[in-house]
Amino acid sequence: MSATHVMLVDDNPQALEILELRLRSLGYRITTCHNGEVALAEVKRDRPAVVVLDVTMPELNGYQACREMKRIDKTIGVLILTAKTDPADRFWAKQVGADAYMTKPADPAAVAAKISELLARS
Amino acid sequence: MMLENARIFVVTRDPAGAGAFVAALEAEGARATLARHPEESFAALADAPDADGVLVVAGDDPGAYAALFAQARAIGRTGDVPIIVAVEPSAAVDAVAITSAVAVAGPPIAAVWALDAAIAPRRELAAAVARERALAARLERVEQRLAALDASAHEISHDGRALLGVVVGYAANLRDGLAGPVDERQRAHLSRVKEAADDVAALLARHAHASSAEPERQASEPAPPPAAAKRAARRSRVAVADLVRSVVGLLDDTIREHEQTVAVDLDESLVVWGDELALRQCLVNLVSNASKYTPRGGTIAVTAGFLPGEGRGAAARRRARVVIADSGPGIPPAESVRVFERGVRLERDATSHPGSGVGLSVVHRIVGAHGGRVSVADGPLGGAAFTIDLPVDARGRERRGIVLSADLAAIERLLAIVDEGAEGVEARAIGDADAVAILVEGADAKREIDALVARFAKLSEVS
Repeated sequence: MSATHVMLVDDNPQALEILELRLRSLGYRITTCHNGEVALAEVKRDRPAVVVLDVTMPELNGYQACREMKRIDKTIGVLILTAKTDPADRFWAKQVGADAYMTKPADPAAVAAKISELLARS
Repeated sequence: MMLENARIFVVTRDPAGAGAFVAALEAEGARATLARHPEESFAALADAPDADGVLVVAGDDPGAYAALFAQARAIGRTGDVPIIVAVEPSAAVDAVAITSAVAVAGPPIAAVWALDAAIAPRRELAAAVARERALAARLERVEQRLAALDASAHEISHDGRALLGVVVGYAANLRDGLAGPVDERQRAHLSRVKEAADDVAALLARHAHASSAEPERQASEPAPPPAAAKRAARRSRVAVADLVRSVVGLLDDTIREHEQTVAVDLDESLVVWGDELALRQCLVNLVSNASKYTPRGGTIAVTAGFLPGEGRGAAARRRARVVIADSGPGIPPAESVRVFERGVRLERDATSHPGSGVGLSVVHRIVGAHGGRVSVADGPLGGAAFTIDLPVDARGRERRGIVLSADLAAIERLLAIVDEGAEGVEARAIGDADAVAILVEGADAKREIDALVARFAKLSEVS
């Protein structure tokens, strides 16, 4: 059985490296993108099961990318992982169809657990 | 020129006599608008929020100045426009009556003796206008500085948390052996790195929330409301019931997560005049506080309705009251004033509930700016109840009118008629002046006035 594909989207390469190391150790196949526009192109090319999306990114922010991804395929699980902490941000995440919302700094073990939860739901 | 581009409304019953004042104002650069009838001028003033001042030329008619004060108040201005009354000195003008009428009317109404019709009121008005402008400019600078500080605090919090994510991430991966084996001691150290990073993140979050009146500013696209920089307050009619529902909807996820229940009881006709985004911020702060301090499974209740006001008459000027009650631990009575001070958090809550202690000070500031009051006391659900009282929308009145008289005895009888409960009628005597203003509100105001005048005329005939 092929490994489950998880896409990581963040403009901070260190944030990508941390999660990639953690998730690969758990057996996931990982794609990393540094902005929302690149991520959208990748989603069309190679559909992931789950996308972990930062919000504050150039070109296309995480909320916009989430909305577009859900239009492409609403079964893609989207986890918003953001340093924004305003109560309204959780609201906007839900408005654009995100399936889960976590704030940074987040323990990568907790992120992995959330991804596992999203996959179990689908 | 002292009054450069100042927009001054000149109100008088004697347009010909006021000509000298108008000329003097225009010579100082003002744009003077002269109304033939005081009612016209005050009606225009209500629709001209950029008016810099009002000059009332009352002549030597002792009844006229009191009447004009009443009209100035009746328009429902918040008192931010200076009103100067020029009075010709004469034996017929009673200095005591003027003083007491001014004292009752309150600032910014100030009377001057027009010793020199062309100079004295102009000078007083210029000084008053200059004071108001200086205050407004200072307020704008303070607002801009606050906005810059807010933006800076928010940016630091966001970027700081993102960097802490990197610290936590590497430490956690090391801790869990993803970069090679670690012993117990190393694992313990790495756990402490994570804990310290979490503490810094909490500190940043507290300082970020010591900011704006617009949570929407911090949310990105794509959905409304749009991101907005701190801006001058824009006032409009605000339907309170809709506002409460929108805030409860905004916090729905948090409330559901805590398995709490929100009950609302809202008067759909309640409208206030205010800055909708600022009022939304107040309610967001109070409802999210209620949720934060209410235990899982608890209840939050929001009620909004009219509060009968003070003064004469059963339907005296009314206020809007919004109450947010919860079933949490409540606020100790000794702390019920301190909790609204910036940065204050109850010792009880400092460790158990994260927060910066500025949410309630923001509420206090915004409600105060709207001419209202906020307080906290023990509530009906066993926890705290925060009460906001605000003036209802004065501009929402369809019509308003004024009935005046110089006969005190007849006025007393008229007030008794009003006290019988005419809806939307308020009567207020003006100090020791031999005049009274009856303010009639609502769509049928003109009919009410006509009816009152007719009854009053009958009373006068009888007396």
